[in-house]
Amino acid sequence: MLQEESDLALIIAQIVQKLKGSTLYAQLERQAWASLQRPEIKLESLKEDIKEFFKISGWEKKLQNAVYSELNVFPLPSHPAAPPEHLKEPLVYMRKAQGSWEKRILKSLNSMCTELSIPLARKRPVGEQKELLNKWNEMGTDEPDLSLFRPVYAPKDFLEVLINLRNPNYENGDSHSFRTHLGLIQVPLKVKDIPELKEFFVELGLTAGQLGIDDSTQVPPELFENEHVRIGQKVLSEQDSAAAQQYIRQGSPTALRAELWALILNTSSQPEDVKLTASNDDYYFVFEDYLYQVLLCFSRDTSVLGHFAYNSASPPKSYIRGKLGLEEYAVFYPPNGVIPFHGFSMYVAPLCFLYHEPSKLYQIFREMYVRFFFRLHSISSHPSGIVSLCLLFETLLQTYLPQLFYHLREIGAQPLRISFKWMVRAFSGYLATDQLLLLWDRILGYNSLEILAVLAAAVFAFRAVNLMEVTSLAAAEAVLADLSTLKVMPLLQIFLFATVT
Amino acid sequence: MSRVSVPCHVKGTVALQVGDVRTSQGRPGVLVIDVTFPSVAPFELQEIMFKNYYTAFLTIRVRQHTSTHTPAKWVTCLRDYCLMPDPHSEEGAQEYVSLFKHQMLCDMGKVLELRLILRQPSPLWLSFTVEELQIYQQGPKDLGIWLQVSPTLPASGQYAFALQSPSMTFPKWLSHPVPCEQPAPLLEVSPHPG
Repeated sequence: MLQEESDLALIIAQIVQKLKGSTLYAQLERQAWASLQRPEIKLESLKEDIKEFFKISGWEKKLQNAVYSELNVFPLPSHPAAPPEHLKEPLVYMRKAQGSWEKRILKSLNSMCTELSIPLARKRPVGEQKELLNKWNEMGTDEPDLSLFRPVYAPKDFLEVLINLRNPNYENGDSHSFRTHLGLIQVPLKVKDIPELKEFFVELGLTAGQLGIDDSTQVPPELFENEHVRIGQKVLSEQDSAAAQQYIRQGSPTALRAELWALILNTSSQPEDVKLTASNDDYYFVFEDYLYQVLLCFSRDTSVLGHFAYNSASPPKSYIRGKLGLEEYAVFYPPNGVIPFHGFSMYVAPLCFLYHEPSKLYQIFREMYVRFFFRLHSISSHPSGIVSLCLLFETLLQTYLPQLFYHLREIGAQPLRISFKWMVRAFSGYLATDQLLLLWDRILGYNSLEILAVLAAAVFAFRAVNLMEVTSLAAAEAVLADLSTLKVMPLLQIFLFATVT
Repeated sequence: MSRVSVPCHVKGTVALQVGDVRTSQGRPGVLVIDVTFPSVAPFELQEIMFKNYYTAFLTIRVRQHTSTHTPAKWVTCLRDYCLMPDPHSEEGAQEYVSLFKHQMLCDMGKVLELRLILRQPSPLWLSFTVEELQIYQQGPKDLGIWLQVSPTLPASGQYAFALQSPSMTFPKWLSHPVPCEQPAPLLEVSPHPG
């Protein structure tokens, strides 16, 4: 149909425009020029010969991966009349809520700086620069006195904002109707129900093999594991992003995980020219150092600003002293536009197990952030946004464990108050690391964070018997305090595919 | 592209409901919006564009000019077009929508008046409507030849011609970008409408 043709052409145009500015474009151009030396390239069939050369040498694959990456990350071009803020977030009341939340954070940040008399942004004096370079590899052990600094905000402050989110055009009255929300979230976003989730997560079904279940010691490896590892090696040798994403839905073997994630996130194999020092003679596992390095660089990486085109949040802008309102003197603070909250480093910590080279670690973390993690702390109507995840969790619990939900509500222990912190941190710090990595495999494979909400509901289902006996919020928290012994994949499989609905 | 906005007069919405609007408890689930074109002759409709606000289904009726002396009749040109897949949830509630003439059930050659019938069966929303309504007609039909000339002409010369078909909303050359050393200034031959 005519409309679809022009939609497709618009998408192609958008991707072409984006890729033209990338290093890949420059590399392809260079390769094309260099290939003219080759004997098989003939002038009469120049275009075809170069295309053939790209195919054989693997450059076409790299281009395919880049295109696939763009399609995954950027939303489809919207209606030509839609303003840019519509692309960030289509619902007006959500945009407003995000705006007021940002103002609150900034106010808190500014007042903390005034209290402690510290300017928000100033160039590091030369002496301090030299000191930083010298101490770069040991930053964890020599931290400045941070005792006076408070975290800008904690997840539970954010939860309060989400609880108070209201659509002004929605029937929020006291009379209970068929759609009264018994949970904390009161906005009617569309969330999947279990039949839709079963279809979405079909590869996690009972008939498909899973790493995290079918690689346990009791199961002979010939049944699934050996073949799965072999396919993984093949996918890596082909360097195909789309195939890797499909493959990883059944989990990634530990040995292949680092490369698979890099392939799916399409990070370049070239070490990046970032502020990280190249001379890394000690590759020891002091994660504290890595965390400081990565987060310091992240906060100064202005390429992160690009993701604000599709993030409902906006980077805070501040003006050079005395030039308020003049755009030429506006700076983003922090330079990457992201204000971290209490526990932010937990997004990076699990990656330290996979990547020992700081440059690679940084690239992977940055890609994970601009694809997934930013959605966990901004207010938006996106299906992977934290508001939808909270609503999905509450709806699943209410629909499939109504007795438990009702009981917890009655004792003043709304389930979301307990599970919110798990979802906001993508379960990092709550699950055992190997289980967490199996979970994050699926986030990458399905390009969605909905699995976090499903897992949260599955955990409640697993501990339902104990939870039915508690009589206070504190007791409920205690039952769910320790998740470190949980096995993620069996829980998900049982909840989605083996529970009688 | 060659489409021209048609100035229209959007009459106030009329709620259709049984009984007295003021005293009955429920909210109307059907609204009617009449759109007239007072200063324009019967025209060929190209596109209808609007921003949705919680309308679930849209039906459009059109009254066209007839050459004979029979009075113009109302004909349904779009029936129950779904704007919100789930009327109870937010999906599609505030989206920008374009409807084109090839989606209509009848020919839209000589439009006199339009009637938009909005339906929202869910009782959860306080109000619903469509906003920023704009009607477009066919622009000047002919040429639209885009000439692209590179200022640093290599020896062989590089010209890209693309005949612009009126049914596409943007130039075809975007699908086959011509590599140039510098961005080339675009010279339009035809006067740009609007």
